[in-house]
Amino acid sequence: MMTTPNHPLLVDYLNRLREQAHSLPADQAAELVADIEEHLASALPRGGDHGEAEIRQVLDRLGTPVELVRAARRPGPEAGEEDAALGQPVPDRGRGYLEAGSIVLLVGALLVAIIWPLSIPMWIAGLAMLVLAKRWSVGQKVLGGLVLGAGMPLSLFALGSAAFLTMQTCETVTTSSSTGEVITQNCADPGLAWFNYLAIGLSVAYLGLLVWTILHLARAARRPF
Amino acid sequence: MLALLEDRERYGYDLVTQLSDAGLLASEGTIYPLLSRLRKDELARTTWQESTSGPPRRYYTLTDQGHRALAQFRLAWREFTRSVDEIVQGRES
Repeated sequence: MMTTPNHPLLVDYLNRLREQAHSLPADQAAELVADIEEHLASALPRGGDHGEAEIRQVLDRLGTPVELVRAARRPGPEAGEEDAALGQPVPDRGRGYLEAGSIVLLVGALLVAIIWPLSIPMWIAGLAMLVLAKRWSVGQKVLGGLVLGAGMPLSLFALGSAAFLTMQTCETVTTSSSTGEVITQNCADPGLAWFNYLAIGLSVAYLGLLVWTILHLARAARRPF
Repeated sequence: MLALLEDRERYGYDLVTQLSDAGLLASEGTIYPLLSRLRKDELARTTWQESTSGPPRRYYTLTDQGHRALAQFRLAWREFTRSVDEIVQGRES
């Protein structure tokens, strides 16, 4: 069996180590403590039955609990620049619900934009979750706000203006051909033709940007660290 | 560390004493997180063995992957020391 360290100095050292190790994943913390207990048992085979000076020397050579936990936390045994983070828990990144909810609500608001009593609350809640999200950087939030957040108002505006223009200047004609039904719009103003192409081009470009943004944000949100 | 494990298995405290005596360790305890990382990266594996004096010990040995990593590191290290030697000692032409 493992020699139980019973000298007050050893007990105190191991307690401080356990306390510091709380910031590590549980299995890593348990392993570190077990390794150090084994080291102490090897270095001081008679448990606490050693002079205080000898025990102090062994502990000095071992390093402080803070140093050991720091070494366990990062890739490489050297201590250095991360001191500020020591003794503090790992930054809280949440569980990703805010991020997922924000994307779903903003895209949902875009899809049901025309049902404004539903889409407007969804849009506001989605934006709020975007701001509160913990897994995205400020830049990613700005991107999400601009691209995803713009979706619902843009969609409302597009639908609104299309309906308005159609009512004002166009008549819709449905013709049958070999490939099926074709809906054409005969518009009084010839300038509207290029306006339509522009609108379609912009919509396609926006959809591309939207999909890219969703993928980018989803990937960033999936990373736990 | 990998080089120390190349020929035979060793337990943690044994490794620590070796490296410490060579003057390569600032604080001995930092070796243990490194050892557990080697294990996690599957460069080393461990077995528990009873010791004649005291508690059972965790022994470390290199895996095949560990041997390959060591061989690669040796190459890189040789080139690195050659470059540094050239600079530090000056080129004798």
